[in-house]
Amino acid sequence: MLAGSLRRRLVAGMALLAGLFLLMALIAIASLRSFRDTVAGELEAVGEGAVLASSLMSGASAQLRTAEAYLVSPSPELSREFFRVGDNLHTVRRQFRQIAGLGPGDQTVLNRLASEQARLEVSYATAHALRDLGRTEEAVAEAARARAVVDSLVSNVQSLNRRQQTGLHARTTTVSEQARQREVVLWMLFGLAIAMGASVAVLMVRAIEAPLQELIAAARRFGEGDLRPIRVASMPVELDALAQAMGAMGGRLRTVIDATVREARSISASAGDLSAMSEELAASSHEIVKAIAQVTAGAEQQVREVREGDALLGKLRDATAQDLTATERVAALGEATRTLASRHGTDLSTAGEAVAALREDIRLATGHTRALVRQVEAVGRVIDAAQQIASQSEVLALNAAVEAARGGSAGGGGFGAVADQTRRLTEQSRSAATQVSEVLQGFDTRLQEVLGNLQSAAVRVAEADATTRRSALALEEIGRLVDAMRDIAARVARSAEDSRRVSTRSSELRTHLEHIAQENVMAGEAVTAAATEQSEATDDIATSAARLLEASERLTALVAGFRT
Amino acid sequence: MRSAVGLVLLASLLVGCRAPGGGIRVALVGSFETAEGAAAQRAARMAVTEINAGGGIRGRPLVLVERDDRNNLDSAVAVAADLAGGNVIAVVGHTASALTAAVTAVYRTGREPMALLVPVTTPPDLTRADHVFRMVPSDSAQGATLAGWARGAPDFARAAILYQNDTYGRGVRQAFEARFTTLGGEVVSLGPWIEPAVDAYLDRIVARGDVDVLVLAGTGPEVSQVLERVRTRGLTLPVLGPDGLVGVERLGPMAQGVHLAMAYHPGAPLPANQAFVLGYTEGSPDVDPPSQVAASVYDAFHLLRTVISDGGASRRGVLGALGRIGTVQPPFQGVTGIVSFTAQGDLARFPLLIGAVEDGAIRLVERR
Repeated sequence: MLAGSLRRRLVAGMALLAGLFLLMALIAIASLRSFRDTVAGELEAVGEGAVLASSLMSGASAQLRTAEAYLVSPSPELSREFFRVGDNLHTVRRQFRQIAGLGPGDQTVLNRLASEQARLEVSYATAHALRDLGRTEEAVAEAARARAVVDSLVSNVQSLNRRQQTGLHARTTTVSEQARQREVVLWMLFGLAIAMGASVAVLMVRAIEAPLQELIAAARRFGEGDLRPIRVASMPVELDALAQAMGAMGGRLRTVIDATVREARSISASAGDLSAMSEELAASSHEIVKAIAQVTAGAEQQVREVREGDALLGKLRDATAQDLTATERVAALGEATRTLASRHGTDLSTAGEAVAALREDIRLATGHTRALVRQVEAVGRVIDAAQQIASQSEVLALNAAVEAARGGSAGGGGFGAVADQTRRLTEQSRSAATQVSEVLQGFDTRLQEVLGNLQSAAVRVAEADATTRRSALALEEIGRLVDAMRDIAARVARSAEDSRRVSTRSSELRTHLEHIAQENVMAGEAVTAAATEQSEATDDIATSAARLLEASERLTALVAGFRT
Repeated sequence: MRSAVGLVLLASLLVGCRAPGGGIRVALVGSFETAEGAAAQRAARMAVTEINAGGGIRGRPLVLVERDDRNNLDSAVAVAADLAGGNVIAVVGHTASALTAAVTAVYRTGREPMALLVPVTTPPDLTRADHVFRMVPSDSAQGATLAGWARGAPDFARAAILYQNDTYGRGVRQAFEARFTTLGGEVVSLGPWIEPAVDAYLDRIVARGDVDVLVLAGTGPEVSQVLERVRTRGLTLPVLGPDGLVGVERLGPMAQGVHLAMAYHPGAPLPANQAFVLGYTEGSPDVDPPSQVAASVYDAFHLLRTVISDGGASRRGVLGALGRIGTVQPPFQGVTGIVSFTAQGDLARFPLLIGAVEDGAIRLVERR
């Protein structure tokens, strides 16, 4: 919107002024050009008028001379010259009529000139004709009438000149008047431009001043600490933007102040905390000093105790040397025991091997015996089978007897023989089987006894083998115990050596511990001094915390002066 | 401020707008007491009546403003000055060459130059001004045509010229003399007159005894009086003259055989011309047939209707549109023939007729 922007108002005002000045310039240029054209036209007209007036005068004189000359001495040449000059004179007069700016009065004078020239020419031409006819007196009289016109003609030419000058003056006056009017118009336009410029300036000032006062008041209010939002009336865009910027600034200041208040309060609280902490720190510093003193005393006590430990270590070193000697003796005894156990172990091993061979023999005898048992059993099964066969043979003999009975004597004779044979065989087989079975039973009984004896021997061999094994195991255990004793002795020896080295190292450590203890004492003194300094610094911190507290309280009080 | 600007614009619009319906004012200036003036007046009224009967120009009537210059230079200048300062947008006139030549510059002195349509023969340099448009050939054209005819079939070798000592007579004389001499003839005697006192010249012609033809260059009743003096003096020389001699046929036998050059003859067979002649004389049996001036005035008003329709009803518009006739715009077909203008305002083409007085009337002899 045009009224809403100072820039647009200024642009519009400047454009209007520029337009006015452009209009002024155009009018001035047009005036100058018109004036230039007018002056040029007038000068041209004046110049042309002067030339033509001169031509009129000179032409009239020439025509008069020619006319008079013809009267004195007529000739065709003079006659032609008379009309030629006259024609030129008329042409000049017509040209005179075309001069710009001639008024009706000038035209009337020209009309009189034309009439007089025409009359003059007619009179002279008539005189010439009369002269040609030899009627001299009439010719002279006619020429006299012509000369009477000359004065009037010259007078009219002069009058024309005067009119030209008068007309020039009048036109000059007109041009001057036009120039004056243009000047007035220009001045009016200039005044209008000034007035419009002033109006624009006043309007601009008014458009700026009131809103600006509001903004100044708002700025002052801000300066006095009243940061409440500003409320302004409608104003130009630029100032409105400024007002909005101030409002935004106020808003941000309010935010900052609020944050500052919060931070000041927080600082105040922190300062209080810091003060308390500094006091606590001072107290703890004192405690540290005390503890350090105790540490120093402890260190001295430690030195003393280390020295005592060193004495004990000396004693331990001596005991260790004695242990080492005893250990060497134990090792020697162990070695002898080991040798003996080894020798008995070899014997036991030989006995074990014999027992093992006996056990193998028993096992083989047992195996053979069992194989004999199984063979006896197999023979028993054969005897059983023979008895089975004997049974079946008996059945067969019975059947053959039946068939022999059925067949009678014709046919049953064969069956009866078979049945008899078979029955005998069966009885023989059964008898043999019974004998064999009885032998086998006696053999099996003996075998069972042998087997029982073998098993008893095996049990005793197993017992002897177990005893041998336990003896071997006992020897091995003795060996391991001897090895263990030797290891123990070696470890005791190494321990004694270690104890000796430890004792030596302990002595070195004791020296080092003494040095450290001395240093600890010195460090404790330094720490005590530092703790003292820390205590003093803590006091300073407490003082600063108190000052910070005071500053935060003052800042809080200061910020509290703002109205948000 | 905006309301002020609006008022200014409204005022500008009101000033810029012209109320429609007003007449378009065009003036006829002439010497209405003379035969030529009266003929011009009759022809102008006839043309304006026809134009308005046809609806005017762009719906606006054409208003004829008649101003009489009383056949007087001073009066003509006064009338011209009055019209130049008035509200007419164009002038047709004057009906006398001398008066026309004397006032052309005056029509340029008003608030705006005003077109002057000239219906009579005038000097060549008349159209030096750019606001003058000639509806007829110039003096020099007639004089030259007449000389050419004289040096033709009649084969006149020596001529005497009696001329009215005004713009018209001198112009014809100069043109005739120049052309006649060029063609081998000789002008042996010149006799200017203002009043028809030409006895001395006639005596000299008689005394010379070698003149083949007598040229009379003048207009109006004066030239008739001169012819009458010639014949009374007993001179039987062939008499020639420009269109200013139109009217000498009324002298009867004394004008018998007079040859004259002219740009218009009422007997021209153009249909438009026939209609014009018929309308011009209709209801008035005593009225002579239209003269060249009457025909030119009639054509001038109809030409103005055309140019006002083209360029608008203003002086500047009429001037501009007249300058376009025959160039940008097509030529105008009038009762006198085809009208188109050169850059100087002269007729671009025109016929010239040779007539002869026979039994009280002018008969067309030759068209050149």
